[in-house]
Amino acid sequence: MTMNRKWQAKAALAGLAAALTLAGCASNGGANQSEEKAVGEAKANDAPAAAAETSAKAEPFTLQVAVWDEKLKETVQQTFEIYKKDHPEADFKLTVTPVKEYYTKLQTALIGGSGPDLFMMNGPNFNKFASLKLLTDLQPLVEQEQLDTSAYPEGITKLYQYEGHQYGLPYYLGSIGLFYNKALFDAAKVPYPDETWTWETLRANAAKLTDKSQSTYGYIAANDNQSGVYPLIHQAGGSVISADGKKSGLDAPESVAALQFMKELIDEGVSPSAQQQLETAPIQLFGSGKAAMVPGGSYDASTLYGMLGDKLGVAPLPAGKQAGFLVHGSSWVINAKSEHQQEAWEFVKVLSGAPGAELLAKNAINFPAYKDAVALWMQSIPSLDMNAFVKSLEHTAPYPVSKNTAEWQNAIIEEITNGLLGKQSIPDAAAKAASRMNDILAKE
Amino acid sequence: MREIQIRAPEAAPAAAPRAARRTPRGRTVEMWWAYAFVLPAFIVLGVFHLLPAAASLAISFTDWDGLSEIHFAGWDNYAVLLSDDNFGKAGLHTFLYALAVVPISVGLATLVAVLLNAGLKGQAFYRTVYFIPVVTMSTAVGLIWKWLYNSEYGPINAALGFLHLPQPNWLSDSRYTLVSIMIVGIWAAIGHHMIILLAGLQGIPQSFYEAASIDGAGKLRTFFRITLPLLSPSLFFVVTTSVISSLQLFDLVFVMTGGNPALLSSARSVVFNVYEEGFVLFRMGTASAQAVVLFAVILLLTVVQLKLQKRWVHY
Repeated sequence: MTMNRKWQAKAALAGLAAALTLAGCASNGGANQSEEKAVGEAKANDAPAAAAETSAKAEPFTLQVAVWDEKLKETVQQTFEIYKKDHPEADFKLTVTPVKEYYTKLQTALIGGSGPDLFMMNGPNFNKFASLKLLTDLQPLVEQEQLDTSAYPEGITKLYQYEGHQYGLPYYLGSIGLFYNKALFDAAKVPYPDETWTWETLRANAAKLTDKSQSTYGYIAANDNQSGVYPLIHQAGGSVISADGKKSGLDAPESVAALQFMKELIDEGVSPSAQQQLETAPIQLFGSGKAAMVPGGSYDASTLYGMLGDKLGVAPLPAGKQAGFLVHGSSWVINAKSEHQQEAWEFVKVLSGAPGAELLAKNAINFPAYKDAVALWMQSIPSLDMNAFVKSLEHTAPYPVSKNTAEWQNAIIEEITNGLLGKQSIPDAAAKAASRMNDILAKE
Repeated sequence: MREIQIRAPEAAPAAAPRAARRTPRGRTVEMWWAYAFVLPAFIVLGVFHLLPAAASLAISFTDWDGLSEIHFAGWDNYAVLLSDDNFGKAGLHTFLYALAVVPISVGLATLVAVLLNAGLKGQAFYRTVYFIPVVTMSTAVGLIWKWLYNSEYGPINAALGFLHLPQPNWLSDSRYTLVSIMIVGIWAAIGHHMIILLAGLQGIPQSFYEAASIDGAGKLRTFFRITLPLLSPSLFFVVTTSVISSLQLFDLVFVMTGGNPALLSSARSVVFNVYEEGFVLFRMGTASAQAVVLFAVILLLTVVQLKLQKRWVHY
């Protein structure tokens, strides 16, 4: 909202400037737009001839961009510089809002008819935003320009389709792997994890790596949907949501088995308790050397490398009945009410296309959705072999979403947390989570 | 509050020669001037407080989701509240919070104010220390306390461990979550109360104490018979505002639970519920209904306090 106020302030300033410079003829200047145009013309007149040539329609404009990740700031700024080469009249304002408030703030602003011109979007919130008609339908643009969407993994492209239309262009995806601390493995003389590991190997080695006197743990059964709970459910052969998106899969015996596995590791003391995880996030615990292994996303790689340096390694997640996880990716979308539809679309194409993906890769931010940039990303942290993230993608299933994903995700977190805390049995937790989720799904 | 009366002679000394002209018309002109001066404040109050309040009262009778068409919903939103588990919980937590925070913070603030007023060395220093939480953003307060409370790495449990005392999981054990938030609430409120009470104490004429000591009254007796009754107007103000602000508990819950649904179920407050209902789930109707109920409760409690004050406040 502040961002919007700033925007308004800027518009007002621009208007004021126009009114001042063109005081003679601007006596009837009512609409903001005409005043901004006036400023544009005034500038174009002053500008050197070279710039004037390119600015046949060069009205200065500002693109408001919103993301939830502080790490992205520089990368998006650099990508904008590339975009600016073709649009010298463009200006840009990036707002970073912590993810906890990001969607709340965004939805409030968009519903009020304001908000950023383009912004990042995730799977759990996409369907709601698209169904509320807050996003621009990109399908006509994609078809008209024959944009090649096969440059992205199919699952991620599909995640941002609503009623068969493309609404977002994929930016990065969250591949999940098993991070491990080489120093702790060396000290316990345990071989590093690899793709042969199963749940049983994990359990046995986690016990060897646990040192209660040092209060270090072998593994963290992370109470986190994307990196902890969903992958285990998938590996056990269960599902979070049925294929038609109408029913919860949490009460299926396979899903219960996955939660039971987490609870057992906690009870055996090889994993920090759910209580400890509520106070200190799993990635934080692992990064400060308190655990030998943690499941985490490709988006955690650069943070963890910053904390552990050369001690950091990553392997594919251990397999249960099957290997893999539910893959999620984020995309760029456009505000349906933005006044700069065409300009925003041009910038989205740069961000999600080769130039943006290459910067994303070089800066080691996250696994680029643009396939051709993946190789570049893999070299971005020289001492860390990130091959596991790429190989694991072969065994993935789509991320579970429906219209009100965020709402039922909260119900799942609450019930599973209470189960892991021991406030209710695991089968009860699964049953309650499933029934609350089904109630929400029934209302969609 | 006292009414402010504007009288002609005081209003404009320069116009003294014309002071005699107290015609009804002159009075009206002055009235208009008075309104003109009040207007800017009134506009701000109107636009940012009165209008939204009226709007949410209206919205509470609709099914508005912030986007689609508005339909009249009658008393439906209020009926839903009766069976809403979360709202019941939130009401209970908020009530318990106020019940603990108001008396304890006012009690401790009185104690601190009396001690400071007694001419303690370094009075200015302590006054500043106690007042710091008041001028600190509550989000920052919440974040720092979250770290202090960390059961494994926080200094509170480190100290308790050193003394071989039990080390509870302050925030993540649902039995203590609300209590932990209350402690922060009390800590943060003391400074505000203390400053007002200190001002009240300094308004008590020294002669009362001299008379009391000549009559041979002890320290405790002087406190209960002289200090407390003469401090009662300040205490009344502090209690009333403190009740209102405790019932509006939000930031500490928001920050200290980190929005985790499992922790929230043992700490959600009414205003948090309003926020969640309105700006996370976009059910503006029920959110407004909850806000209206809270408003009614606060209004009622304040009226009751205004009535009761006649029995214990000495002006």
